[in-house]
Amino acid sequence: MSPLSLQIEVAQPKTGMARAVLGELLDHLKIFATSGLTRVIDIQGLPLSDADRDELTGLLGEGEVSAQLNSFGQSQINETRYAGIWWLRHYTEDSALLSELIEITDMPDILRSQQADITSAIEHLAQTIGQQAQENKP
Amino acid sequence: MSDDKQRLAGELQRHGITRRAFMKFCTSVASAMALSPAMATQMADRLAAIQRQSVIWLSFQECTGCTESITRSHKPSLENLIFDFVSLDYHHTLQAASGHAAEEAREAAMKAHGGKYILLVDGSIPIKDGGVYSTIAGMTNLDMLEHMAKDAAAIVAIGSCAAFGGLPAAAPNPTGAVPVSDIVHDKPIINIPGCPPIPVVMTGVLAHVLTFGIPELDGMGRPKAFYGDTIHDRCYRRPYYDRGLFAKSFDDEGARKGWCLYELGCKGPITHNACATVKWNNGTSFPIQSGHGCIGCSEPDFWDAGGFYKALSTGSANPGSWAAASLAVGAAAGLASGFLNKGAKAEAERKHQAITVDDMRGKSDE
Amino acid sequence: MNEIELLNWARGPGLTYATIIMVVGLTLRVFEILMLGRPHEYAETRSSGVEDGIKMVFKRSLPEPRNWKRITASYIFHVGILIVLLFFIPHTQLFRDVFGWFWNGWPNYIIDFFTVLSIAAMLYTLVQRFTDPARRILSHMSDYLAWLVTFLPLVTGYMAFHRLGGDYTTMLAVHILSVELLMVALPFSKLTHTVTFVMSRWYTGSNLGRRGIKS
Repeated sequence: MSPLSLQIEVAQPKTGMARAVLGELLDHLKIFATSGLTRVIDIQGLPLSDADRDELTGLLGEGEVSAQLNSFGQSQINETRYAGIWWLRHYTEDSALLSELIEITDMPDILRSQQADITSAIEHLAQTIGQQAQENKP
Repeated sequence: MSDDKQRLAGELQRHGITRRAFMKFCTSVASAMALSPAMATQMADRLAAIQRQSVIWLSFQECTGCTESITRSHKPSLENLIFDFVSLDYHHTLQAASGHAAEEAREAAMKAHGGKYILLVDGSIPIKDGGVYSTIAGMTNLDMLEHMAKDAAAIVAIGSCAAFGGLPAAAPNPTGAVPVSDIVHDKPIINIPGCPPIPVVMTGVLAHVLTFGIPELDGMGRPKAFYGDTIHDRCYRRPYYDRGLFAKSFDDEGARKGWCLYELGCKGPITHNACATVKWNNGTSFPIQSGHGCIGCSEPDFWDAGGFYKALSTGSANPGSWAAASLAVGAAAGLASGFLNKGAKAEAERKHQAITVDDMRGKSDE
Repeated sequence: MNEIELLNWARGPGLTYATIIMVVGLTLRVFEILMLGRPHEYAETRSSGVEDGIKMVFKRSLPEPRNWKRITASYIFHVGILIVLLFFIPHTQLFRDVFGWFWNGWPNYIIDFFTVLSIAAMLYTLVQRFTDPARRILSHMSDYLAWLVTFLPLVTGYMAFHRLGGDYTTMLAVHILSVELLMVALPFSKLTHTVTFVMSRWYTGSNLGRRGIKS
């Protein structure tokens, strides 16, 4: 079901927030470079107008890495043109935007393989190998 | 690891849900509650560690709409899964057991987690005539609530019935329905009103309670994260309200242009809820976006607040119906008063005595 | 009592009681006045006085002499209050609900302007009452109270619309209650002039007309 589109005649102009956010990102990037302290910013919690958001995505751009996560809906995880600044978009199964974040880090946590999942994988792989051995027995 | 099996982490594993998927879920819940995104990891860690039977759900005088809302999904979602896990052992609609076995399970859960379990209540509690109008296994709702509340860590009143009395408490309230807060006074109570509440509001608050404890509440015990603003504060049709562009009737030109629904009875200005931002059905829409005014279902007494289609500025009574009687009474009183005045005037004229200048000179000592 | 209960009382029983008291009180007053009758006319009248009376009702709504430079603060707030009361859109909904007739409201920015203008004009008249020696001597508690019950709905209405003064639900309830206070005080103070002004203007005009005076 596509979202209803309604014409609202009130313009949402640029407020200058995008540049302010850039300044904040620079500070956090510097902190990460020296101390390794990561930072996550929830974009939906920022007072950005539509024009501000477009300005911010334009300024940050797209970098070398583009990853897609498929889990209860899609998630787009891209590094921006500035190394260490990542833009994450999480969608529901109906392609509605669930949450949107900027992470200052060398690798967003959600991209890493999680400990609990690795433990689970060890079990399953062992099982699969065991099964293969069984099937290969003459 | 085996300890993990008793915890939510184990349940997630059994259903093939990766830790990554769980992280994505916690991120969105944290975002919805305006928590710092860094807390999503903390939330994930703590949620994964919760055990079964830490939550007991009591259904009283209700329509089951709140349960329907929280589980509404034709495909299983992560919220449903978590929810089933935490409350599987006592929930009338969702549990497997019934009859005595169910009641025994409830008592066992209470003993096993004394002082630590969260009580979820939906539905109002009737107290008239000793509370006989709603009973479970021969026990009145009133008795059951008082009994279960004693050892609970906190109580979450889900839905407008449990939070404020809701539909059963609407005039003339034949069963004497009251909210949870009228019965329990010595435990922290969180009210999640709405008829029904938005699903993510219920799961979000529950997740917060289980991981970080009770969130910040407003004067009516509602979590400020979801009930801090009114619908009007965040309504996308505000520009039309501010410019005085209102729809006059359903499906007229103004309505089709998406103008403000104030004149069609929208109670947005006085209703605190998250419908305008979080919306319904996974963010699809909410009543105003679909062209119907807000009915104020998360505020107390919304059933008795005048019509759903009468503007907020109208009265909920009908003062005009007293007009004829008032005029008659006023007229009669006025006539009576007038006659009395005429009588007094006539009396004064009768008593009037003419005096001369000489009289005046002589009466200087009066 | 929480803020919703207060609002629902103000919109419900409160409004009903206030309306009953106001209608009973005003009708009582009007009948009392009519019962006073008219002193016997001993001289020969130049005209019946009826038409002159009616003309006077309308003429007195314009400033005298026809010098618009002499508009008083009092004139301003009377006009302002009428405009705000009758043409603010939520108010038009209330009147439609109670009386059944309907007229279109005016844009909010116009109503806002007249509200601020009326508030300023009323404050000016209060200052006049204090500072002008003649007015001060003539003013009694009933005058100040009448001023207050008229002023409160204007200020609370403005505050509610602009979301000032804290929680909106409470402010809206306070505004409605202040209007109910005005309604209850109206028949028992000089504010009866809201209705009786027609009668007194007619009476004056009629007397002048009978004596053949051009008014």
